[in-house]
Amino acid sequence: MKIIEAQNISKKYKANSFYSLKDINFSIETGDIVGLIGKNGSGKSTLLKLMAKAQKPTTGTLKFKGIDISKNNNILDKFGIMIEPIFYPHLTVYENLMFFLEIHKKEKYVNNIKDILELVDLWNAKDRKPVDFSFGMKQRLSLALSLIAEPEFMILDEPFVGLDPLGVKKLIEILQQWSATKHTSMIISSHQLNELEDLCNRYIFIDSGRLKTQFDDKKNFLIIRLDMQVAQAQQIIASIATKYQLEVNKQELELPLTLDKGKLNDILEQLSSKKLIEKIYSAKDELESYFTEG
Amino acid sequence: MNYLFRPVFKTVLKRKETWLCVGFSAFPLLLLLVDFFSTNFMQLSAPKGSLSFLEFFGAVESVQYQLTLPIIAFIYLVVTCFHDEIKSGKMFLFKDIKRSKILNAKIASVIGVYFIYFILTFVASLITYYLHLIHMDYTSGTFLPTQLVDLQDAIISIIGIFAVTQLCILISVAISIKLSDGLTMLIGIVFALISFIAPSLKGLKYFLPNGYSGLLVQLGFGTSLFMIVLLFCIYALIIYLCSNRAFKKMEY
Repeated sequence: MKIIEAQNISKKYKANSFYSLKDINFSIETGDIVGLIGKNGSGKSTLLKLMAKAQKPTTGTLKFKGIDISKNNNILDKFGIMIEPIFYPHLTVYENLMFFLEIHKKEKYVNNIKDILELVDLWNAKDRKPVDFSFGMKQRLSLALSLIAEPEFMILDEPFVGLDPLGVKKLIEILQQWSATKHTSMIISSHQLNELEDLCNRYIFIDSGRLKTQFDDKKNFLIIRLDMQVAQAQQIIASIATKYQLEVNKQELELPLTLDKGKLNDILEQLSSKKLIEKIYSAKDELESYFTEG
Repeated sequence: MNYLFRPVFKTVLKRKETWLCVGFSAFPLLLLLVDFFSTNFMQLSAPKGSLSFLEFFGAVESVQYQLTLPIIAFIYLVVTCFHDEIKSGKMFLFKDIKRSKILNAKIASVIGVYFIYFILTFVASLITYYLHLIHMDYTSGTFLPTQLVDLQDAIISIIGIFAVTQLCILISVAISIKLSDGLTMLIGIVFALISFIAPSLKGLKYFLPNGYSGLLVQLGFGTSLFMIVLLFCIYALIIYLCSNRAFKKMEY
């Protein structure tokens, strides 16, 4: 089921002569964890702010479970939002969570506070004000605020920025645990590709405000880019794909890492004997290529 | 009642800026302190046995307003509750709750702080008057003035300042939604300064609520009070509608 659907989303700021986002179309299915990737200034944060209704699209519609989010208030009731560290520094951690529950009439989740704070490792700091917290603690408090009411969909903008490796590891564990237990869908923008690889099952790549490509996670695959100019390439590849039940995506053959030794050698032998192999790379290389090659 | 008011007001009450505002309500108590020093600073003078409590409270309100510092503190509170929260992304906490509900809760919270300030000023004035000033020869020792015209003058003066201070707060709210902290402070203070001098200016005194204390003899009590309430309602409504429009359109 489609939980989020973006149709022809464009955003042009009054002060700019160009579009910050142009004709963005994508959808997110229930349970998806989507990595939103792109260079600085590509429009990732703008897209997330449009989804959080902090900004209004110039054209296009965004739907949550089929309902246009701009049509009514409180459509984002089931959203968890972590864009910038958001909390009141003059309130304690506990007071911040209580405030959030009160303003959203979600006091029934008050019993979640202890579990969530233990999950984000802030239970012992519950009576402290976040004003003198480390950046990692502030990020975790923002995460606690976004998780407390058990959202169905989460928007996370650069959640790993400013965190040390331990902080990143902890955050990934929390999100993985949450996704596994609550089946929450998420969209996460980040530059840290390694971290996204551990979390996401799909990716959306944005460049200069345009959606360049979207693809499923292939971390359990080895990808072979093929030279399709070679004679009989189509037939050979089709025959291999049928025999070993492999996916062919344009000029790319996807080999599962679980493939046994005999089949792997046979496939590579058939391809190499005809000089069909142009390049072999992993999913991680593919992700990185979007940043290096654009 | 807007359910957001209670949690929003609680967060506003916990701000240091709020306590700075409320702290100015202790201003009348300074009269107790200055008497320990031999100084001419804040010395009251009035004909013998003439100053009632209400007239003293009216004078305190007037001096507090002209002192400018309390109104600057209130503008600063507005800036932290509105522009700073919009700029720093705190609005994400509210997700897509109806914008006018959020605005109403925030405005009511700041006005609530002003009410606390007003009541505490009243209490501090009571303490100062009945513990200290009552021993001075210029006080009458009565709560209300004995002459009706003095009572009417005190009421018009207090209500006029009460109204114009709230207008200043509302103007700061409207500006703070769109403009920077510095501009909000500047425009808020300029409005306060104009309102100080308005009662002395021939053309302007009819346009601001606090101008009617000087028009009491000319217009009478009923008309003056009606004009204050009418002007306040018209200005407050216009400013609120502008604020609401800007808050609904705001992007962050």
